[in-house]
Amino acid sequence: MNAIVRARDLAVDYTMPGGVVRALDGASFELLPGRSLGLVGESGSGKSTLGLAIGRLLPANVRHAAGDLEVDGRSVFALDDEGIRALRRTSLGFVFQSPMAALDPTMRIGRQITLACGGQPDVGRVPELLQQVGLPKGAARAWPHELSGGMAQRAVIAMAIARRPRLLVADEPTAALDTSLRAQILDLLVALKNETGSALVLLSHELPVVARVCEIIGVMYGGRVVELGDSAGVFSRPLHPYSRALLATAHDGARPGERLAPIPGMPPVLSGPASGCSFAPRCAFADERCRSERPPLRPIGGRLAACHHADGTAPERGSGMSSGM
Amino acid sequence: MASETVVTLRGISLTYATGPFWDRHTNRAVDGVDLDIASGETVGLVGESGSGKTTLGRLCLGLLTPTTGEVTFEGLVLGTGSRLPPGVRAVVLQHPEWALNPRLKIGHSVAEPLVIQGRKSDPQRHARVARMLELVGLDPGFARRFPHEVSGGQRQRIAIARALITRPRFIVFDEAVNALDISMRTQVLNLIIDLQAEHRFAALFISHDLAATRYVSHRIAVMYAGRFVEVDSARRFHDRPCHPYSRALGDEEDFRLDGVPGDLSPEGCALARRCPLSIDRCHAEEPELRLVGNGYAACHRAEEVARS
Ligand SMILES: Nc1ncnc2c1ncn2[C@@H]1O[C@H](COP(=O)(O)OP(=O)(O)OP(=O)(O)O)[C@@H](O)[C@H]1O
Ligand SMILES: Nc1ncnc2c1ncn2[C@@H]1O[C@H](COP(=O)(O)OP(=O)(O)OP(=O)(O)O)[C@@H](O)[C@H]1O
Ligand code: SF4
Ligand SMILES: [Mg+2]
Ligand SMILES: [Mg+2]
Repeated sequence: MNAIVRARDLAVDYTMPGGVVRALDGASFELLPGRSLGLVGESGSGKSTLGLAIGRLLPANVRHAAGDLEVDGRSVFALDDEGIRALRRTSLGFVFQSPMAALDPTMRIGRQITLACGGQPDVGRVPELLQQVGLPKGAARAWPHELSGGMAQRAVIAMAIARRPRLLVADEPTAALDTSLRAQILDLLVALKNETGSALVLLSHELPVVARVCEIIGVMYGGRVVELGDSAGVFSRPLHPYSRALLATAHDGARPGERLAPIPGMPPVLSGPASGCSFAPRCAFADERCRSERPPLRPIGGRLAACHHADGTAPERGSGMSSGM
Repeated sequence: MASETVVTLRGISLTYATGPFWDRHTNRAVDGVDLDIASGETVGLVGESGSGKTTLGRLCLGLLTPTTGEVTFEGLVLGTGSRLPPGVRAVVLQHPEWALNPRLKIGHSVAEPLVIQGRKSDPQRHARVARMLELVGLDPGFARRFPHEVSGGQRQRIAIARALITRPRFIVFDEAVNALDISMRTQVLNLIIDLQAEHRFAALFISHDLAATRYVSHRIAVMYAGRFVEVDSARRFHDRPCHPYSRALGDEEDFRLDGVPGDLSPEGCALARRCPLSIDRCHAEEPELRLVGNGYAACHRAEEVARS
């Protein structure tokens, strides 16, 4: 089977008058039709950039620096404008990270969902979508500013799934939702995937969310996918030191009076290709080689990891963090 | 340490009216809320989507005028023509894209509260902006970017830096950390805790994330359909919340709610139709917010819940 989406060493820069930011620095992954991939990573690691690249929805100050991204076997960078529009219309659905920016403030919610359905949906389709995302029927009459934050997020999800896309890209779709609604929305995405055979790319900073819904997990760091494998494996036995640190911090919260510790150090801000491993300054296993030689994404223990020391030669030192929780 | 009250809400209600006058819909988003927030104190506000948290935060800030009741800020009744000096209140909005002027560079936006306070010529201004950015985990180089040139979580942290820079006396954090990964979230929550210990601001921390809310808050208020159903210290709330809805929020199996959100019972307890513990009395008689143990709960069966 051919991949529905495949990125190969994709590098993307944002250019600004003051300089260049390398947002993706050789990101690779692939996803088969009907499967679900969760991309996790810290703030600024490149998740949204990768998600937007799938629909070539990146802002104008973007430069496609290297590598490729294919949807259905066709490079999105090679398509002409009509081609990419057709692809978005027929195959792709997007839930953007900021729901309010995705809604048109001058149009009632019902009208916006109708348009998302393609203009003239069956009667009953709009209420059905509203119900699926847990919004009352009356929400169709509301203006975007009359919705609470979580309601707006669900309206945007209703629009994204309206046409039953073959590939749904959902960027932090549950960030504004409480536990029970989150479960409802995630179950909805899974049900949609199972019913229509659509594929799902879920971008999130929350590992538990992703592990719950997705069959495959990709961990991003510094604009790269640094670990890629089946969800249960990555979740229970992460290989990359960053994945381990991320998992070690994924706690249920502190006991009263306890103080939690973040992963020490700052996320990298790249302006060009990283010369070594971009996690090296924060990594407890880092040595000279890590600082000078880029670790390739290579098969280790049934999955892929980009780390010089991930194949068990790394000394087992707790979680791999230089300071414990 | 004796702390004075900064914000006081008494009998606050707010009804939104929408639609043209011949087809008026009203929605009571906040209904009879009393609350005091003291300096140096953080009150956590949790509750499901649409329960009225953002609305209550805006009422505390004086950005909305209550339909009934009174909001007092350091002894001054809001909305009576009295004006507070600039910079004493700050807010981190649920949608950070609204908080930052898209045409201003980030350094400018973060410094703006200082400028409004009349500290335009402060020679330390740039240094303070750089320091503040670093504290929220951002390279000082971000000061030269525009708001659309950063990621979602970065924008959220910029909004937090902007809110904290003037040392306001009251801050509302509305879903201020929901776009942050757990490590960054911990760093920002620690920052809020440390700055509060130093400057003793009062805070309302609105979030659907129970763990984060318990971590930064001294007291927790749980909201359902515009009302407080439980108010208690964060410590006791952690050990044993005594309202069934609080238990449901904590994802406890035995307290899972039935039905759909927004299915409010017309009479009695608003939760009666969805609560797994509801009895006849719940459908007939509305529970008052009353003392249960050392905290407050609005539930006929709160004592039993507290024991279970
Ligand atoms: N400007 C408005 N006009 C009319 N109704 C409104 C307006 N703003 C909010 N509402 C309604 O008031 C209720 C409470 O909204 P609010 O934004 O306070 O909820 P919330 O608890 O912050 O929810 P969330 O967790 O989803 O952000 C909702 O039913 C919402 O639709
Ligand atoms: N339009 C832009 N111009 C310049 N730099 C940008 C732009 N958009 C994003 N960036 C930068 O690119 C990097 C990756 O951003 P991206 O939005 O992909 O991160 P993310 O993983 O989605 O983060 P978050 O979890 O905070 O949303 C960040 O360092 C960000 O500052
Ligand atoms: S390559 Fe080196 S620095 Fe990078 S994660 Fe692996 S051990 Fe750490
Ligand atoms: Mg993002
Ligand atoms: Mg809100």
